[in-house]
Amino acid sequence: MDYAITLKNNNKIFYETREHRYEMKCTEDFNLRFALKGNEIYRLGRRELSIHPDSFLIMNKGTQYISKIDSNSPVESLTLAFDQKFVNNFNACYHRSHSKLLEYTGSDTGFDMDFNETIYPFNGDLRFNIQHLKNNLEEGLQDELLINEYLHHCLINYYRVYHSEVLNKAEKLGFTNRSTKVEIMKRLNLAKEYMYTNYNQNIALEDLARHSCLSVNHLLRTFKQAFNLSPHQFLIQLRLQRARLLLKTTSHTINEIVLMVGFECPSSFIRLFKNKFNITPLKFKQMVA
Amino acid sequence: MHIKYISVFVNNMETGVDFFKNKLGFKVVNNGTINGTDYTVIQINDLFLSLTVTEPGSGFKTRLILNTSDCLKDYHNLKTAGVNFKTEPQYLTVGLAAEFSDDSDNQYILLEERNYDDV
Repeated sequence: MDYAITLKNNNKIFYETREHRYEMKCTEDFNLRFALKGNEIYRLGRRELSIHPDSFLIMNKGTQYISKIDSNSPVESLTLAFDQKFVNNFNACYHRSHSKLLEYTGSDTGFDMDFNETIYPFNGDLRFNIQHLKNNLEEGLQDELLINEYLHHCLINYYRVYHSEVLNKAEKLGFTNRSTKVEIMKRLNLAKEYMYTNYNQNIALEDLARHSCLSVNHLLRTFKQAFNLSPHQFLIQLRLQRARLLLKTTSHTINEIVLMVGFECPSSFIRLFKNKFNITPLKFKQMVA
Repeated sequence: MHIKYISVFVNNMETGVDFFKNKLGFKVVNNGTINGTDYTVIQINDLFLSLTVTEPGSGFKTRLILNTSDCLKDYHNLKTAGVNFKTEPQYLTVGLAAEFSDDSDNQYILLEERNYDDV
């Protein structure tokens, strides 16, 4: 059941299931975008970003984008759009100490909200809260206070993801200048989103470096510093994670999944899967069936 | 042998029963007296509690962890019903939890356990 909900405070929630869709728009608010089933492709300028059930995309207010769904099976997409005033109030609560909060009149315009528009991992508390919100809306929830409580917590969860994925990782980079750290982190996120999007393709290191505007050596060195993994290791982990999701949620055979996620050889996939999850793909599939 | 009733010490039986019945959704099962102490058994799902009146200042307090499948929803609904929360929902390593109290100063933790390892 598709729905488009606009709350009294102008927060919005859109949920739809489509096999095909093409949309060219400009965001009116800060957005969190999820593909809860299947995958959806976004184009932001020259960048192509593909989101799957294990990832989500954020877009700031005023971003021009194209979104595309072209699938043989229905794709479930969910968008949370946060009104600027709601975000400003949230920021005031999130960043201010309690004593300062008592003096806060709600009159300032808030904090810098220009987040890194890229793909982030969709897991942990954000996943639980989104699932609860979706379940409750499907059961007919209309209490706007409760819906806003979920949205408030989704922002808490996103800020924590942003801290963990961007700010904390930027601190690990071996540069003294903070603006250099931030700039390199933005480029590393370009590399990461390229792998999120092209995870099932043969990705050459040179292509990855070109996409992230870094030299190969610079990419290898800084990626490892930030993520504690080489780009190749990151890609393997991503493929294994997506293979696990496919084993759990689809009826594809293991051999089909091996090819779908970009592995060339079933035996190396089985070995890597067992090393990571301590269970063979076949046993995992039987266990979750 | 197994635990059947968990005691909750209240200052006043009437307000204690009112709190559990009208705010938390328990139902009264029975009541009686053991060794001169009045008790009322209340139930929700498979949980049975025995409310027991204690003298103020006796020091008997209860701290219960109540499990929920959706902490934010129950937090919101209980708060709307007038329950006094001491903390907002907070993220722990095991999940999401909020703490509330009753008129007898018993402490309750509303806990949604979350398995973060699941796909």
